[in-house]
Amino acid sequence: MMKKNSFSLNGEKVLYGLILIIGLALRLIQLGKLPLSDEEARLALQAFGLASGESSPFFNPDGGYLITTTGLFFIFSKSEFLARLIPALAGTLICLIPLAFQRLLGRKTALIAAFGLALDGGWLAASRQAGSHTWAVLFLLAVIWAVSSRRWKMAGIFSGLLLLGGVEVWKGLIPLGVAIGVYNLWFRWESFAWNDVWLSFRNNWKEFLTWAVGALLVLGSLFLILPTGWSAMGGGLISYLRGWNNPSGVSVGMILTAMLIYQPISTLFGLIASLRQIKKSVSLELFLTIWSFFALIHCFLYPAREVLDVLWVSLPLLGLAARLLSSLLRFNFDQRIAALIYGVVVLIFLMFTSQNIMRLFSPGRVAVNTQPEIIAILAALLFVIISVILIGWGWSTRVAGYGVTWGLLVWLMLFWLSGSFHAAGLGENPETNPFRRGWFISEADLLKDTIGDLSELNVRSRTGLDVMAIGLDQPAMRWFAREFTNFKFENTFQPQIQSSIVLTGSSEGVVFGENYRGQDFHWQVQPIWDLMTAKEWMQWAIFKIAPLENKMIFLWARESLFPGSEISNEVQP
Amino acid sequence: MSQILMTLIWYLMVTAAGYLTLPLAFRFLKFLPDRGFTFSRSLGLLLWGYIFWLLTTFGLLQNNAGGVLFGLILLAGVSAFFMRGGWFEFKDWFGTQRRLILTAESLFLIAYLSWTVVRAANPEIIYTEKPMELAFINAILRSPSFPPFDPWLAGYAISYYYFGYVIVAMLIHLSGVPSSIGFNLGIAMWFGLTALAAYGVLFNLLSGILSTNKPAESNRKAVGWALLAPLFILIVSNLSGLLDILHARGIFWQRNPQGVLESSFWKWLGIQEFDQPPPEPLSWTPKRTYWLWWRGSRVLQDFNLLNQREEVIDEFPFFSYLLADMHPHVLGMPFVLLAAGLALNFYFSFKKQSPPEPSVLNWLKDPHIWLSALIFGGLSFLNTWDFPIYLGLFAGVYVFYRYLHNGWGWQRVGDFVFVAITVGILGILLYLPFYLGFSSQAGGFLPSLIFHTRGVHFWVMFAPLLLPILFWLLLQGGGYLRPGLRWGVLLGSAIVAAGWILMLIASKVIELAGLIGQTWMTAADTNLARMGQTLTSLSGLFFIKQGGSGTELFQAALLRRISAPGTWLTLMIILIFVFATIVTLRRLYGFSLASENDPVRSLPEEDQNRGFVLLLILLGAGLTLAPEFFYLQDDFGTRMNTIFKFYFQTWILWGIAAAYSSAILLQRFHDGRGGVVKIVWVILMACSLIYPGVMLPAKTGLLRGQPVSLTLDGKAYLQRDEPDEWQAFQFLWEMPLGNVVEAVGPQYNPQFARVATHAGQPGLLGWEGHEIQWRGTAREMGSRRVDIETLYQTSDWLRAREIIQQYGIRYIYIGPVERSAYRVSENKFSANLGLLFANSNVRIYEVPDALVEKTP
Repeated sequence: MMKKNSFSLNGEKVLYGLILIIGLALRLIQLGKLPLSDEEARLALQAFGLASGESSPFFNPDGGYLITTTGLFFIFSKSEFLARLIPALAGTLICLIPLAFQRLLGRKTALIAAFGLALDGGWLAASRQAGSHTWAVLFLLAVIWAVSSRRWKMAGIFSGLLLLGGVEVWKGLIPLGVAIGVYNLWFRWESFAWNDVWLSFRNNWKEFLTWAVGALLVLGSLFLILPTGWSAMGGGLISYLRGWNNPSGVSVGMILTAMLIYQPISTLFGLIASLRQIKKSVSLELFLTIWSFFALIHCFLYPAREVLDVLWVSLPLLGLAARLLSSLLRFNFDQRIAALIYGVVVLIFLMFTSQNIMRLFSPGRVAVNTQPEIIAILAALLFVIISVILIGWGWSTRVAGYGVTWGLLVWLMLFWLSGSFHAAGLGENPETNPFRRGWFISEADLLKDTIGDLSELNVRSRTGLDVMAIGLDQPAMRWFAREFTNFKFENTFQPQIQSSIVLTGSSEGVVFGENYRGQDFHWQVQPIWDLMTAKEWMQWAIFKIAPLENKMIFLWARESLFPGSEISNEVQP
Repeated sequence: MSQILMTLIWYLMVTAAGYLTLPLAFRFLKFLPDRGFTFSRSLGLLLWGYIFWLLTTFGLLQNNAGGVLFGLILLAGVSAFFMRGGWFEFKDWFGTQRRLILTAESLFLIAYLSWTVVRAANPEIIYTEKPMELAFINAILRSPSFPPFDPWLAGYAISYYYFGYVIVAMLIHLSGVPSSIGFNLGIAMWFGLTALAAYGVLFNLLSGILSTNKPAESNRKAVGWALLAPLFILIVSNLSGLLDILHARGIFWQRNPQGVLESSFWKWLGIQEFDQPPPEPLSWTPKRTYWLWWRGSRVLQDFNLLNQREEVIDEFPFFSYLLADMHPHVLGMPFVLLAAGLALNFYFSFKKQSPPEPSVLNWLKDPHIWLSALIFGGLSFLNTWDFPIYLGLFAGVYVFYRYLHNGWGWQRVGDFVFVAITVGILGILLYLPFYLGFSSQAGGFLPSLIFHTRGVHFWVMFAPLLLPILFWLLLQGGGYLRPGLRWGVLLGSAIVAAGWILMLIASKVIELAGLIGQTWMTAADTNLARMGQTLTSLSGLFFIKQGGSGTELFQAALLRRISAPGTWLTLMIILIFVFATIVTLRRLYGFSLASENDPVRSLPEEDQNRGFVLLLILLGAGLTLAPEFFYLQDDFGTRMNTIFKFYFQTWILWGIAAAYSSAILLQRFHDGRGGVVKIVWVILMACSLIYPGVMLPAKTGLLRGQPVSLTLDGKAYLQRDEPDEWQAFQFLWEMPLGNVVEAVGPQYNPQFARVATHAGQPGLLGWEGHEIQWRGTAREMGSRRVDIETLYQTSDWLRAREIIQQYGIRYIYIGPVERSAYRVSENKFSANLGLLFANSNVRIYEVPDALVEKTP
């Protein structure tokens, strides 16, 4: 027995190690590849400014992100990778959080949940963008862990850090608070042993408060170097409250779609688990159900919602799904080989179905006749249904049940992993990722290369040429401009403009005194979610392709910069 | 966000601030029967504002909603710290004071909501000084750090007591409402806060004395009777309303044989507009002018020797709230009442402990003194005039008790100076960053030789407050007056006589200084000659304002005062009564002190509270008597502002005293005298409520039985009448901060300085007259007016560029006002600058950074 336990523990450690490695790898690979969007750049620029010693009059509410990223920028170079590193690290640590709740969840459940967190598209997307989503989740879970294990000093520190998570904190805290309240009022409080926790809190609240305030004041100001960071804490709550009056334009349908497409396992199995618990009435499941319910309601009601908010719903759902899956992934019954074989058969048919669905919605498809694919899809699904009934009736319900569940689970996992890859921004068409905040910056590299080539040609430095951006004073452009030594911004087109390169948002009204050559670039793109047809939605779900709207920018280079021109030759030695 | 929701959010914010500060009030105002409950909102706002302002000034907080919220959290933390160990006492008190809490909460809510409706009926931020106030608020909202930029003088910080605007901006920041709505919500909120704080002062005075044998019943009665304080302070008005309807109806007017209306009464009364025949047909409804309600604030009339009229402002709270200028005297109201509450708490503390010896170190160890300094210092930042007044009340409380304990001696003067200096210096130190950037127009005191208040005007102004106070002083019984009457007469007469003598001496000194100056002017020593010139011109200016000089002036001044003695005689009588009562109290107290070892309890509760009311009356009398003889020298050169600020505070102080007197009179006297008093009181109330009854509908259109469109947006008129400009302002609001240039014109004209005001950008030059008032000099403005004119009119781009660079101008605004004020040469802008914004009436050019950066 001892040996088995020891082996099991080591195996578990290995698995958690694997989760850590996978989680870290998926979060760090090509982290700096995609340009920062406006939303990301707004934060990164502030950290950049603070690291450069500028006094920032207004802190964004994401104090934790800003302060840590400022530190990174101060020590290292300023890059997209570093701008996203803190969320990525926080996202990686979230994968290990289930380990802390092992006793409450059960070992297998915790392990499944950890894998889910490491591989899930939503969590990957949140971890690979500059912002506070993962910070908020990490420290909220850390506070829950510290409180439930009555470590008040830790709880205080984590609470302080949690409050540095900006607006995201409140999106998570409020539904959780409501869920705890409802659970307390209508259901059993005692079963969670919260009474003991409360009693312990009453004796230790001073310690808790002291550490919370201390962490908030000291860490919130980067060891008192940036005291204005304190305002950021209040700013988070204010931004959250203002969100009730500022619709973001993200529809409820988009939220649900993202959940189904990118988080099918946690959504589907979590939902089944929550329905199942109504019968069983297990306290943990009940609480997780209530939490996910209020998180979802909050998502629906909150006008400033964004797709990443589904993380607060998927967190309890993932717990529920992991509980269910841990009971389904049992291999110690008699007919497991038969169930496994049947599962493989089901998977084959589901794959066949998938292939036909893909063919049916293939973007390049020109055939008008869709009948063969539809018949094939229906036949395959019919086979699965009939086979389940027949096997369950004639042979064994267990074999039928496990077989179809495993087959379905593997099929969903494939779909899920494909979505995760896309959500992480590692696949093709990253611009159609619904978890991405704001417009996708599309041809920044091309723009940079074009300016760099011209610059190198004329001033022998890829960043030295004077550039003026007119009417493009946006964070993403500011971030783009940071690498150039002579890059200026103006709001209006000046008739007497003399810059070597001029960037404008429109070609209308641009009249230069000298000769300039122009080229357009797709600067920002995003899917036209509101105008997509059902077919386009299916294509997006399968291939992640969607019709795009884009914002162009125009690069105007002075004629004299090009080889062969008179002036150009004059300036060259 | 709907305006109803905004209104609710403001209520919730201020209520939250109040309840978060309640533990602090509970601890520090513990000697008050209400434990500071009614002051907690004012205290909360003041402390919250202080924390936010100070930390933002030092760069520790940001001037945004996050910083504001952090300030509130910090305040809650401080409050919780002082709450430690006292939770159960707090809980018990809450349980036993439901009636008080419910009444106070209802009063606050009703006052706030009702004035929100009043504001919604006439929300325009356009006339009088509203543009200035909105400009300050917008500048504070948009300033990246403190001190906030001066919206009307780019490159400089605000040089004005702007704390009230910081508090309003703070609430706007947190609630996220537009400033044009926040402005009106602010006025309504201050109305509610004033009502609550006034209620609090009177409740604490009345609690325990209305039914001496049954404290619980007395407390219950006080809950109701205390409502008289907000009535007297906020609603009761001067008698101009009564005069207005009498005038409109043609009372005291007779037709002469030519059919022209004539009246010796109205001519004698000598109030502007009322001395002219009423418009016909005669009616009980005044229809003199569109701004009918304005006259109430100008019943006092000053004439110089040449009988030229000098404007005197005599606002009273109802007028101020009806006018709804968010001026410092209005913004200070809840806080001066808080200061009065603090003084009352200090006063009541001596019921339980002897007055402490004047020792600086001991006083500095007491956290109550620090809180007092914070509150009194805040008054200076809110409305500097109030600082010495309420510090005087605080010091007066100490002297009063020291007098009761130790009797009179010159040491009592020392006591007064000790408290005033200790708390005053602390108060200044706590707000030091404000003083470092503040320059005042005040330049000492001048004798008010020819200018004085005629008795009839004084009574028109103060009769609703004076009569209850005088009745109370008289009817309190001979027992209180007679023993000290001799001293009362002596002191009262001496003070008035001293005023006369000092005024005459000071006037003679000024005359003499002028004469000396004239002789020095011819001296060989240039310094002496320059000094002589200064003396001569100052003396000359003084006598120019007086309308003459020499014996004629002195004779006329004396003759006028003797022929119209109503004011100083009234005040002398009040002083006599007050001093007589104080001396009597000392005798009673001294007697009880000798007879018992427990001096404090030996004096009946009512007699103890009486002392504080006497101090309020005394301070009010001092404030109204002082400008009879002296006034503060400012840019106007007259006593307009001195009367305005002093009379306004007198209204508050006497308002409490009158409410207290009324409660006692109506409660106590049930005999024949009581009947007469009640009849007089009812008539007086009826007369003094005519003004609100007539002027509120006249200004707002409410209560006329006709539909009134309601909006709280003070800029809605702009959107309706000047949509192009409104659109331009909205656009500029979103643009980065930069100096904006627009047409310069006369002050009080809302067409000028409108861009800086509404767009929240620092304007190159706004109302010049106001800048001079704020800074006491025109030096900072330099040649801006001429340069702006040149900038618009010149066709020379190089000259224009020079001006742009000199002032670091970023936005050049060309709207209808600029086109009518100047011959705008726009080509130079369109040829050299980028057109940032354009619609059919407005064009805004932006100066590129490259051009501005060339500024040396």
